[in-house]
Amino acid sequence: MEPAFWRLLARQAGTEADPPAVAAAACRLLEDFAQHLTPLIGDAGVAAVCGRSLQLAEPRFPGLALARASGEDGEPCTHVQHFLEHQDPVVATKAAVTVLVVACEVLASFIGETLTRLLLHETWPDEFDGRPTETTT
Amino acid sequence: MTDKVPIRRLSTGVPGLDAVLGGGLPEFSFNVVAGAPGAGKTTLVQQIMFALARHDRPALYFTVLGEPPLKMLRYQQQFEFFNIAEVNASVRFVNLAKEALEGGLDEVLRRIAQEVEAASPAIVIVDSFRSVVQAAKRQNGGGDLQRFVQDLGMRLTGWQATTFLVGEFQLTETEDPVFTIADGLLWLYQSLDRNSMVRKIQIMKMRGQAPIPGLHTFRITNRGIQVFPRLILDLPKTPPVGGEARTKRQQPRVSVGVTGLDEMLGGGIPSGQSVLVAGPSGSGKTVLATHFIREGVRRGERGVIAVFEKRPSEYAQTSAIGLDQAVRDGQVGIIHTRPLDLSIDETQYELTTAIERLKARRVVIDSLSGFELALAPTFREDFRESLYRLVAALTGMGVTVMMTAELEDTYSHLRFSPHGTAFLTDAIILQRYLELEGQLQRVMAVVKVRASAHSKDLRLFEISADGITVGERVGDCEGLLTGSPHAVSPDGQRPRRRARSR
Repeated sequence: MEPAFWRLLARQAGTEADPPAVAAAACRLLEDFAQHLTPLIGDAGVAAVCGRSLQLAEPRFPGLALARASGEDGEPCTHVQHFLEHQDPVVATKAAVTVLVVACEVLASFIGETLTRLLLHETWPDEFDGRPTETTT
Repeated sequence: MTDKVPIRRLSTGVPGLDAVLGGGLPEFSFNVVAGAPGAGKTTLVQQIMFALARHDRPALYFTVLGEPPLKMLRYQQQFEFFNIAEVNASVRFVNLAKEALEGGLDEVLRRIAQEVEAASPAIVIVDSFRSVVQAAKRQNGGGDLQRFVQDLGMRLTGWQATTFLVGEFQLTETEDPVFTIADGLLWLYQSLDRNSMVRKIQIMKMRGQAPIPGLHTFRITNRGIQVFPRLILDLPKTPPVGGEARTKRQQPRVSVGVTGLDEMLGGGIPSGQSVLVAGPSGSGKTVLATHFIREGVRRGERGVIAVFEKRPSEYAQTSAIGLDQAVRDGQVGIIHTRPLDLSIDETQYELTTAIERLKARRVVIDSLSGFELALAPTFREDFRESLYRLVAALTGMGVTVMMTAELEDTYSHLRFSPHGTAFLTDAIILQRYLELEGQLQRVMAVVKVRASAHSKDLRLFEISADGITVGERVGDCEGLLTGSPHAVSPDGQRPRRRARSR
């Protein structure tokens, strides 16, 4: 999953992108995914997943705390973007990928990996395989 | 061409529900699924949704307020019917929480209309509709609710969608406009009686067809919901004048497989009838039932045994004459249903399914006492009535039924069943212990065979590794069943030996 997000970020922002470009690209990716998630789990569900993801990523990137605190007014993406814009380009990219990966992991912990992969495939069909994983009953 | 519009009935994918509905779900119907929290409403509609959704005519599942969709998806996908691959393909979830909270009924209706027009769904579900109602009441006192429901019902029917509104309604709320407008009203209950929980469904209304009235039990497992329709007996067909007695006389007999007992029964059990074997613990009821099944196997008639006191493997191995080989060969099916929370209808379903699968001709229920104990307490109250329906259903299928019943050995009065069910059966075989000349002996008698002559003898019998051997008639004694027997001479005058029952 992580390499796919690295590729997506690079495609959106460019390989030599500056922090603002990385930040804008990361926000676009988050919003694209949220757009596919919202019909399924609602705005409240997206906000809950987003808030929990920022909390889990926070120990590695303490600056995300502000973004999480702002989640209550419904604008975490703006604050994530603000945080990323003020990082070193490498750190910004790493933080953006971490937030996206953790968000997917949080989502999968609720609705399962198969359904999460299906949603990722719908959002970015070139990067994610949406075929259901083999399950045994 | 007929001048009446045909109503296509959709198969719901919920075992047993189509029968309860009266043949399936009417296409384009506008239905309400009501019940308390935890009654199984969401599971029911999702099971129906996954069964009916197609790629060209998908299902739209609108979540409003109430159970968070994140959790609903988490829990519902545990069911086998939840096909993840169909999510966002033939099954689409649409969350309307924002519209309900911010825009009110008009906004909810606008969004539903928008989504339905875009997707042209065959199935539309609004879960929970109750929360839509509450949101409407919060906003404007619910004044527009009737118009909203009317509008929604008309639009969804116009779009040729079969619709379900799911809600936590109370029985006291049936004056709600939604109940008037709905074509179908499915009410789910869960009741607690002592330590047992029982789920029931009632079709309170289904326009255009006749559902089976009353409450039907259902069970939720990882496969989803299974309904066990409450059996309504068909009225017996009127026999041709003068034909009944002839029919009885000509009825073929089924051998019990015990030499001597068939003669006592007047040639065996009348085929397609029921027989009760009553006796105290250890008297040989199960052995006799095993004979009955084994004899069927020998004659190429398969059998089904419903066991309530032992595990099937133990039953097949420990019965004196063994059935394990016949079970392995598929000649005999043994049903061991979930104890302590059963309904009669569930047991009947298990039995009829096994009978149809095996094409069985003989059925044993061993024992009625264990069966009664295995039922949820709420069903024990009407055990007799339920058993009547069960026996009638089984014999109606043409199978011959043998039931065992444990009877306390008492000499103060004569009875044949602890359940007062003796009248339900066509024949009764009674087993008892007697003390004769200082020995404990088993005796057997045929108490009744409906519309047939039978032996009135009390016959001694023994149980060995080969099973039951019926011996001679207990002669020269009277009052064996009263507890005060006395010997009589062949001329009925002079005592020759003394006999006393235990």
